Amino acid sequence: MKKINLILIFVLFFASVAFSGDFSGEITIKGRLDSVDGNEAKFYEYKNTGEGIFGSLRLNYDSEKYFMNMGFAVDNNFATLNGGSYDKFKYYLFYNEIPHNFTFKARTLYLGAGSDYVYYPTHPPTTNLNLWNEFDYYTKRKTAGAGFTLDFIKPLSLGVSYKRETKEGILPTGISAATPGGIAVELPYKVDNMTDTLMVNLDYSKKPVFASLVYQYSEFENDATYLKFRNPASLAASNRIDFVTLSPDNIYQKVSFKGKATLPLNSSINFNAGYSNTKSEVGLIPYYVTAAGSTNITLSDMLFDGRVRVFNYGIVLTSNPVKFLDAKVYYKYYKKKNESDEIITIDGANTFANHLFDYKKNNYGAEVGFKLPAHLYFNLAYSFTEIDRNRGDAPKNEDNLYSATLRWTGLDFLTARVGFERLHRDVDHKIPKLVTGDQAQANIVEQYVRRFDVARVDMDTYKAEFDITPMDNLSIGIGTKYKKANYEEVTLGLRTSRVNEFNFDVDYTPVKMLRFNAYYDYEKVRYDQFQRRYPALPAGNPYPFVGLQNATNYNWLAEPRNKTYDYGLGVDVKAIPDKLTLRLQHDYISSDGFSDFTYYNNAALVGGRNNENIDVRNWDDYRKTAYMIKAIYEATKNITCSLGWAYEKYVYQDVQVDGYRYVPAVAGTNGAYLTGFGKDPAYTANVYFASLTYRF
Amino acid sequence: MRKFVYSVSLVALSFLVFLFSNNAFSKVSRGDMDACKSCHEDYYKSFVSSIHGKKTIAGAPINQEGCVSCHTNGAMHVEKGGGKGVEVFTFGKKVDPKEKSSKCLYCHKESKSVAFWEMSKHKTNGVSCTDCHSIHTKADKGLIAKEKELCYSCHKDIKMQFNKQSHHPVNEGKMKCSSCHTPHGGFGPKMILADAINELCYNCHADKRGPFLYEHPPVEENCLNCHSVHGSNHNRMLSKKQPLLCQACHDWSLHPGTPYTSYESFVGGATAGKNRQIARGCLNCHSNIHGSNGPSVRGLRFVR
Repeated sequence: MKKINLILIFVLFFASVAFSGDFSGEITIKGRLDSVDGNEAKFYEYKNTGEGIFGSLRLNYDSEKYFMNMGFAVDNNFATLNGGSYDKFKYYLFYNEIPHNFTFKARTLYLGAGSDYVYYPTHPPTTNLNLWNEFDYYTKRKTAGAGFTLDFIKPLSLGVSYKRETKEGILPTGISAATPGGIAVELPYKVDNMTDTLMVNLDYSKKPVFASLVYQYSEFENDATYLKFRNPASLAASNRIDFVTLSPDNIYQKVSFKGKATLPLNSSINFNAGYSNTKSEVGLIPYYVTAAGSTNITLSDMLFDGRVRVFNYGIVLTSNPVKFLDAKVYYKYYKKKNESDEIITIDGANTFANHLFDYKKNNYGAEVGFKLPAHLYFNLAYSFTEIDRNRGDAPKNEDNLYSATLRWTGLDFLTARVGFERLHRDVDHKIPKLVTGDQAQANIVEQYVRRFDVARVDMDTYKAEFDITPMDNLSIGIGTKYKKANYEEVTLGLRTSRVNEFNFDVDYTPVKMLRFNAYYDYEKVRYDQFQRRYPALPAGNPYPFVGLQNATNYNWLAEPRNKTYDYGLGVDVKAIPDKLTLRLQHDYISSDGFSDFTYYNNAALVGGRNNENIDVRNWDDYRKTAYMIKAIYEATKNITCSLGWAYEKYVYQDVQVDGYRYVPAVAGTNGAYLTGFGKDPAYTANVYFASLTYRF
Repeated sequence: MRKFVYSVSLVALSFLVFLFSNNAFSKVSRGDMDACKSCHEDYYKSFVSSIHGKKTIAGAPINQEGCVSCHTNGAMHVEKGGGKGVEVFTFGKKVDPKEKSSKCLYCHKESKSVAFWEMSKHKTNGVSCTDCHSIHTKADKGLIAKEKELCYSCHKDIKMQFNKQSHHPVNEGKMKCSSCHTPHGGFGPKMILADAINELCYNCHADKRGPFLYEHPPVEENCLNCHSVHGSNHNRMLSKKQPLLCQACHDWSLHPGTPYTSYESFVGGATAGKNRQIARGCLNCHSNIHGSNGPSVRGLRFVR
C-alpha cells in the first residue's frame, strides 16, 4: 500500500510540474481515537482496525481536452487514478482493500490455525480452554487493477482491463467427526487465494448499429485446497490425519456479444449471446478417516475434471411507435451444461456416482406501457419462464409472472405509483432417484416434501409509493409493500410466507440555517414450515397426518417471524452562516425475532418441554444505536476543520450463541468442539475524530 | 504484484506526461448564450465548467446550440420575458420522463453506456436521465448525489436491507450499487451486470465457482435461493435462519426432520442434538454446502 501511495505522489509531482492547467483537489489529515468495549471484530467488521493519524488526498485536473482524477485514503486503504482525453481515450488504475472481520480472539484446541494443517498433540484433546490457542477470524481482499479505453478510433472503441484480487485470512469450516452424526468439530482454515481477471471489449457504435464483443478470462488459484487435521473421533491408537476439501483452482472464460439495431417507428432490436467455460481439476483422495483408522474406497478416476459450459442468448424488440405507447417483447435462453467427470465410487457395498446437475431455461415475455390522459402511465407485463433441470424432485418448472403498474404525475408536488405482481409457478414434481441412500424411504417421504425453490407457488406482491414535495424546502417519500406466498401442494416444507414493509423519509429545510432529515422503515416477515420427525424406516410411518405419532415420530410446525424497524433523525444547524455547521445524527435499528414451535404429539414433549417453553424468543434479535455530533468549521475558503464524537452500541441475542460453550457436550454423540465463531458480537464504541482539510 | 503495480503506474505516468505537454487550452466561447447568462448566470457557469461545455468534444451542447440544445425555444422564452417553463423546455416533475430523456439521448444515441436504455426497467418505471444526472455539474458521471444516496432515495426498501446486521459493505463505502447493477439497462435479470445471478456473484466469489465433484443443485442454480444479498437479519445474509432454511428442503429421518427449539440451544434443558441449534447450525458439520470434492458420502453430504 505504501508503495502505491508513493507512486501516486510521484505521479502527482510530475503532473503538477509539467502542467499549469486547472487543478483542484484537497488534502485531509484525520485523527481518530477509538474506545471499543466488547466485540471489536463486529464494530470493525468492514473497517481497517486501529486508531491514529491518517491522510487522504484528492486531486482533479480538468482542461478542454484532458482530465485526471486521483485519490487515495490511508485509513480506507484505497487509491485510484483515472483520466484521459475527452472523447479520445480513458485509463484508470486502482487499489482497494476490503477487510471483513468476523471474530477476534477465537480459540481452538488445534495448533497451526491459519495454516493448511491443524493438529493437537495428545489424544483426546484437552477441554481446558486455557490451554487452547487464540487466533482471529477475518479475511482481507486486496484488489489492484488497471484498464484503458480507446475511443479515438470511433466508431470503434477498444477497452482492456486487468485486475488481481488476493484474499487472505482465516475462516471456519466444520466437519462431523463421524458420518452420519457424531460430534461437530469447528476448524479454522487458511484463506489464501488469488483471482486474476482480464477483460477485453471491442465496441462498434454508429447509428443505427451498436455492437460489443467481450472476452473475459478469470483464473482462481487457491493456495490451500485441503485442510488437514487430526480428528478427535479417532481412537487414541489411530493417528490418521483427516482432511476437509476446500475450493479448487478454476479457470473461467467467457465470450459474449451484444448488439442493437435501430429500426423504423422508433423501434430497436437488441441481441446478446454468450458462451462460457469453467474448468477445475482436482486430485481425489481414495479414503476417509474413521474412528478406528480409515476406509479405502475405489474411484473410477483419481482425477476429477470439472467442466461446466454455459450458452445463452436473448433477443429483445423494443418499440415506441406512437407517443402514448411503449412496447417490449423478448425471448431469452440460458443453458448450463455440466460436462464434469462422472466419478464412480465403490465404498463397501455402496456404489454410486456424482450427480451432474445442469439446466436450461427458456424465458419469453412482453411489456406494454400506455401514456393515458391526466398524467397517468400504465404498464402491463407478462413473462413466462420454463426451466428444465437435471434434478430428481423437480425436473421442470413453469413460471407465469403478471404485473401491472400505474403511475400518476398529475400534480407538481406528487408522484404516485401503485403496482401489483403475481407469480404462479407450476412444478412437474417427481420422486427422486437417490444417488445413494434409502430409496424406500424416499419413495414415501418425497410424496410430501416440496422444496421452496422449485415448489408450486402463488406469490402476490402489492406496492404503493408516493413522492411528495409540497414546498421547495420539503420532500416526503412514502412506500409500502405487501408480499405473500402460498406454497400449494406442500405438506412438508415451507407452506406460506408474508412480508409487510413500510418506508418513510422526509427532508425539510425550514430556514436557510436549519435542515432536518428523518427516515423510518418497518418490516415484518412471517412464514410457516410444517415438518415430520421420524426415525429410520421401517420403525415408523412418516405419513404426516393419519399415521402413527409417538415420542419419536410426530409432526411439528415452526412459525418464525421477525419484526425489524429502523429510524434516523438528522439536523444540520448553520450556527454561524458560511463558517460553522453543527451536524447531529441519530440512527437506530432493531430486529425482534421469535419462532413459535408446535409439536403435534404430546408424547414427544419430553424432558420438561411443552408447546410454550420450546419457542425461541431470541431469534437473531439485535439493536444498534448510533449518535454522532460533528462541528464543521470553514476557517477560510480553503480550509475546513471538523471535530466530532460518534457513539455506537450493538446488542445481539440469538439462540445459537447465547450461553456459548466451546465444548457443549463432549461425552455425548452430539457434542462439539467449537472455536467461538460469531460468539457474543455485542459492543459499545466511542469514537472521537478530528480532521483538517485544505482545498485548492 | 510489485512489478505489476510499477509497470502499470509507469505506463500511466508516461501517458500523463505526454498528454499534458500540450497545454494549449482554448477558452470557452460564450456564443449566443449571452441571453441565457444574463438571467441564469449560475446555470451558465455550471454548464460551461461541465463536460458539456467542452469545445473539444464535437457533439457537446456548447458546440451545438448551447443552452437551447436541451431547453429549446430560447428565443420565444426571451421574447415573452422569461419565467419558469414559459416557452422553454424544462425538466420538471410533470414533464414526460421520455421527453426529458430524449433530450439527452439525442446526443448520446451512440453512447455505449446507454445503448440498452430502451430495455431498462428504470425507463419503464418513468425514470429519466435527469432524475440521476445533471448537465450542470462537474461531479463524477454528473450524478446529482453520491451514488448510494441517489439509489436509496427511490429504493428505500433496499436502504433498509443494507442497514441490517448482515450486509454487503455498501454503507461502508467498499462497494457501490453499480458494482452489481447497471442502471441503464441490459440483458440480465434485475439489471445486473451479468447474464445470470450466479455469474455475477462468482466475479467476487470465484471460490464458489467450482465445478465441484458433489454439487448442491439450488446453489448451482441461483445463489438467491438461500441468500438475501442486500442484507439480512440472519448471519451470512441468509434469507431465513438455519436450521429451518435447510429443513425446508431436507425433511428426512432423524436429524434433518427433528425440531431444533430452545431446548436444543446452549442454554436449553436437554443435551441431545446439541450441535444443530448452536453456533453455525447445520454448517457445523455440512460446511462445504457450496460444493465438495470430498470422498464418498462425506463429500456427497458436504461434510468434507
